Amino acid sequence: MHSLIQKSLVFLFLLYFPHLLFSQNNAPGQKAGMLSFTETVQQLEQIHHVKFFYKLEWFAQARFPAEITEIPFQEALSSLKLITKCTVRQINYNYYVLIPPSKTLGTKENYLDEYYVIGDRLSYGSKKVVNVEGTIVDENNNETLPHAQILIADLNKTIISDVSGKFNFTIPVGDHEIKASYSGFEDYSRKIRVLSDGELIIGMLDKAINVGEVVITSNKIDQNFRRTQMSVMRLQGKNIKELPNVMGNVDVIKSLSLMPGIQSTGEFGSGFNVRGGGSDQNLIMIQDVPVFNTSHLFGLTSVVNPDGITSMTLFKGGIPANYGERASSVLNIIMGSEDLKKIRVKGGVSLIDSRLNIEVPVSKKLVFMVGGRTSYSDWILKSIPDADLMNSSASFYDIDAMLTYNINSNDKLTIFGYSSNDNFKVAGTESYKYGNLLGSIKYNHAFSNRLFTSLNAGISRYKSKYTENDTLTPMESNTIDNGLIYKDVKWNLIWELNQKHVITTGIDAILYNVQPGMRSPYGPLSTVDRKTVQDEQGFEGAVFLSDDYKVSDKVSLELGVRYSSMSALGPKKVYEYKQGVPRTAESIIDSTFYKKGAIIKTWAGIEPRISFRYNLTQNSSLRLSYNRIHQYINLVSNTSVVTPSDLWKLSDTYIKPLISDQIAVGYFHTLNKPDIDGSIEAYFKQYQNLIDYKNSAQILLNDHIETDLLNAKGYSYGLELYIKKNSGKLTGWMSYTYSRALRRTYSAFLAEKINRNEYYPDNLDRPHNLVINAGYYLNRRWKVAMTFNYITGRPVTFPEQKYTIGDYQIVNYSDRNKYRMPDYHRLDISISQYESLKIKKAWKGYWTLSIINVYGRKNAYSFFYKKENSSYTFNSSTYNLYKLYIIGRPLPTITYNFIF
Amino acid sequence: MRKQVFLVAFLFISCQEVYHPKLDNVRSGLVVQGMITNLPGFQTIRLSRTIPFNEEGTNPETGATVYVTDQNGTRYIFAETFPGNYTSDSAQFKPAIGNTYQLNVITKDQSVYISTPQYMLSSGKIDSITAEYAVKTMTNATITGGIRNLPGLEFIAHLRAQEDSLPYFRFESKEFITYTLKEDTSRFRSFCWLKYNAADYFVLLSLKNITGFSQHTIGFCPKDSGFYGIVMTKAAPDWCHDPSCVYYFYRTPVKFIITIKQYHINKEIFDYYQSLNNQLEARQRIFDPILYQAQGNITCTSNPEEQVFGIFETSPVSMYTYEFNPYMSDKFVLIPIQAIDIDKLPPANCTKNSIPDFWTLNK
Repeated sequence: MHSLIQKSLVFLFLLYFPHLLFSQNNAPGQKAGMLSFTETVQQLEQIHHVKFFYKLEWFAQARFPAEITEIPFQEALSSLKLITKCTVRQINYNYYVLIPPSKTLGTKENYLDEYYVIGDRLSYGSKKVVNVEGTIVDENNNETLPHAQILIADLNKTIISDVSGKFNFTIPVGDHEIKASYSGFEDYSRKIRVLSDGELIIGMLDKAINVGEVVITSNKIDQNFRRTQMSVMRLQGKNIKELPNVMGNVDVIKSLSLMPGIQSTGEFGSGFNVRGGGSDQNLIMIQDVPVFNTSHLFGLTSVVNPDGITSMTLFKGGIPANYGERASSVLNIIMGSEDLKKIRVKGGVSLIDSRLNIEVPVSKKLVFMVGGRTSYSDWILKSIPDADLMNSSASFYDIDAMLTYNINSNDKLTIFGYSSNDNFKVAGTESYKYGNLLGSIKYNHAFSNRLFTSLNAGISRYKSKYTENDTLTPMESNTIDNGLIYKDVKWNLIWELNQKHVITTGIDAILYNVQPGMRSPYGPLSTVDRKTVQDEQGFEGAVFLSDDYKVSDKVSLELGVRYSSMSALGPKKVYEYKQGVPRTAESIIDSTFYKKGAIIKTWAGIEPRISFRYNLTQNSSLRLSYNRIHQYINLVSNTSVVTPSDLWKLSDTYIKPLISDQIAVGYFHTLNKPDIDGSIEAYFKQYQNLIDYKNSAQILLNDHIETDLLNAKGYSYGLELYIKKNSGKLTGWMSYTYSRALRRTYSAFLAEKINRNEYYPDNLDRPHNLVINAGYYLNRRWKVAMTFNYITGRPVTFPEQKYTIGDYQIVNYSDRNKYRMPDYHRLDISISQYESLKIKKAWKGYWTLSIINVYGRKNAYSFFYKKENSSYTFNSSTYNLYKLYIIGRPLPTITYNFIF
Repeated sequence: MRKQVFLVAFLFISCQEVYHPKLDNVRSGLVVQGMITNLPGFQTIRLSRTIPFNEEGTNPETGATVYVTDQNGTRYIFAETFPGNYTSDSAQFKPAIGNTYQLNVITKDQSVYISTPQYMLSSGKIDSITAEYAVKTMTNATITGGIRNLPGLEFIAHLRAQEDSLPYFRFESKEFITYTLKEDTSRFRSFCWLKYNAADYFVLLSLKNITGFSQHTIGFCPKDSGFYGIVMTKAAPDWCHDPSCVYYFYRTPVKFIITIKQYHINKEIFDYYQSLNNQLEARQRIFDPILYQAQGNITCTSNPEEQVFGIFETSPVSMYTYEFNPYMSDKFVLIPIQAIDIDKLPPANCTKNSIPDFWTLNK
């Protein structure tokens, strides 16, 4: 310490003679003990983990005593200012812009008030209107920014970058002002001087780096004030590490359940629920291909490797016309980097799994990415002193690969592949296997700077296998397989007609093949009969057209319409049931066999889509949206928890398509200082043709599943409040949602009435949901974070009364979903040590120590009623109601993540 | 499913605990156990009320008017002989195969209940019954691990499908075991008996789509070696005032008897018992539905919305009784003896120094 003070005093002395320092004309480093400006800045950046922005020519002559690197940062900064006479503007927690004396008299705008010259002076005057091509990139890593908005302010003309971050526009020669904005980035503004055709590179400064910005944004200014859409959440891949930790890992899909209007299906449940919709009502796509099981290990973690994600977008309302298929939401996950300059490796190691993602720029036009994860949990099972668990195993892996070929500035080809697999084996007697296989090929073409098209062909296969192999009952050992294959071709065309209209149109064609179940004997001693439930085939087609119409500066409107239809196809035997009685196996009176490709039944409908925006002020807007969606495939499950054995079921003669109508209204407001967003959204959804279940419905291996299913209708509504602080040492968000989801059957038959055909709470009806998520940077590298979540307990059906028949206790259940599980609440905390901020350091890693369920609440996962003792030994069986909980005590985990 | 969830939760300190939910006070429903058989003697209809799930005990329905009508409109009155037990006059009411009967109940509050008409089928017939050594794996919350392997005898019925009859049957197997209990002082000798239900659930059999002979497990008798022989206990009798007093007694098995009842039932009754079994067998496995509600064949005509539990059936019964010895090493012989309705024997107990009439059945 003494030495440091001494050095500081010496250095301060030297500061009184800056003119001497400035007068040196020697090359950098020539004068003993003196540093050049570049050396000084680089060393300060390395030592103090900051980043300076400047133009070298402004300060190239400046020289600094070497001691400047040994004094505290604020003193060093003062010295820097004194020597260079610059002004320092801190634009973020650790970003500093050095502004030379000649620029400091004006405002920030003055500072930026220098023209970016586009074109060739020699060509100036040959054209009045010229074409400008450009790319918008993250200035930090040169990654392109898709779908960014660029505004030519003086012409009031808006351009949207394509998926590669590229854009072009025509513009009169002369001086103009360009503005750009993008979620998670500082607003960009620059004057340009256009001389002839030319190129414009827009570099955006990241808001988020190392200041803990929570980057799931539903209210960002670029989204909420400059686009018509509402109820949209976007996340950029580079900010994924800022998401809340789950078991030491970032989980992009699970993190969504912390946003307003979105709820988890349970503690480590699979999928999520959006505004009262079931998990099967979410169209979750990876590279435009749906994935049908989004979870590893029954929901421990999502199937998407977070390191490979470029961006993800979730629509929970106001869904544009180019999306359909599922009734509640669309989540599109985009993988890979397109304009990568160098090899990038990301990965992580945790107690359960490890992951790795490698991106390789093979050439300027070709980028290859491969990533994967694998678990290694078996060793943990072997170490648990429980015979059943020691004989059990649980593992998963997923692997993805993508090739991006930028053929030229107008054409791009993307090939994507993905595979995941889960494997459980329980006590050597029962096992589950399930996996997804995805593939897609996508071609993008720009006909002009206003006309774009894309063609995507994809395939998604989901398979599940359950095996029961009990050595005590080898005769009953069997295997049940089920799954589905989804194939699609989708074509889109975007036409920027003029400054007011952007037309989008396209066609979707989807082919389904669902395998509901096949039972086979397992092992040589098995006497189980083979049984196959006949496959289902279906063709879904859709055409859509929408117009994003900018009515005025304050008002914009997006009008769209989608027409979708679905035909159930043969080969299939369809049963005919007696009219006037409940549909049961006994009421079958005939059957018809449809040969391959024959149309069994066609359902179709028009789906209007409307979004309206009115900018009340520069910082606030009012929005309204309506959408109708037909869903022709549903997940059928009669278990209280989601399992891999749940079946997908196509609409057919008896199962009508689910129709959802949603209207939403929202008010959005943004404050610049402090950087806070807020919103209030209200919605109402109405459902037709929900699938419900008869009491005691049998789903698996049921040849006539329609006899156990019921059609129901329902509605949900809610109010979502959301406030978020985007920057500073303390960041985070708080949301509260009040929502209800109700449904009812409407059959005339007593056996098909649930709760007397009265409205009753849906399984997803959880009225109160509070989320508080906060992160605080103790210093530049250490961050503490917490997430608190409270949700009303899920509706549940309990045994309400009991009685005796013979020697057996029988229970009578309450009305369906009459009761509720105890409320769910949990507090998780974590502390992270982030990577070194040395810009040129190759290897960057960070540790995260997290504690889940800090106060050890035993949140109910499910309830079940089971036999306690056998009547063989106790002369009468006893039964009890049990609560199963997953995490019953505080659970610490540690994870190491890296990138180089 | 329990195991699967537990496995997934291996790191999450998963656990389960008995849960006592706060339940609403709901009106108890009428429970009917109405079975008319072709056996000679009086017929019994049992009426009770449901009790809250969190409570214990019984709630017999007393003071009701109970009668059965046949297809001719003849009314057979059942009188309450015991709280909730209504019995017929055996001289007046002799159920006959081929007749159709319907149960009528009027409770004290003037609620009226009526069953669907039930046709009495012809009796079924078992070709033979055999026994084999088997090991049952069952859950038992009182022991570590909750799983117990229990050796014993498995009873197997051999049947031949008959095309001219409805192919649905229910089997009821009850064991009756007699043994002596002798205390170490030889001052007392007791004659004891036990009754076991030889099945953990309703044993149902459908011969639909089955041709020729087939065999079906209908009951199980555990070979509980720990129960018989010398038993030591510290539960001192009255005459021993020393806290450390160790007390021996001896259980000596005398006779093992099993009675198998074969009910010939219709599809409606079969489905009802099947729904009960679905509930009784619930183990939270993958195939278990969310819940099973047992829907009987009795409705409340004065209030159609009221839930009524239980069933009325007219099922002819064939009864088979065998004596056997489960402690024989490898040969299990079933000796047919005169049919005994074990249900009508008194519940497990002991008498001292005098042998009850039924204790040495058929000996």
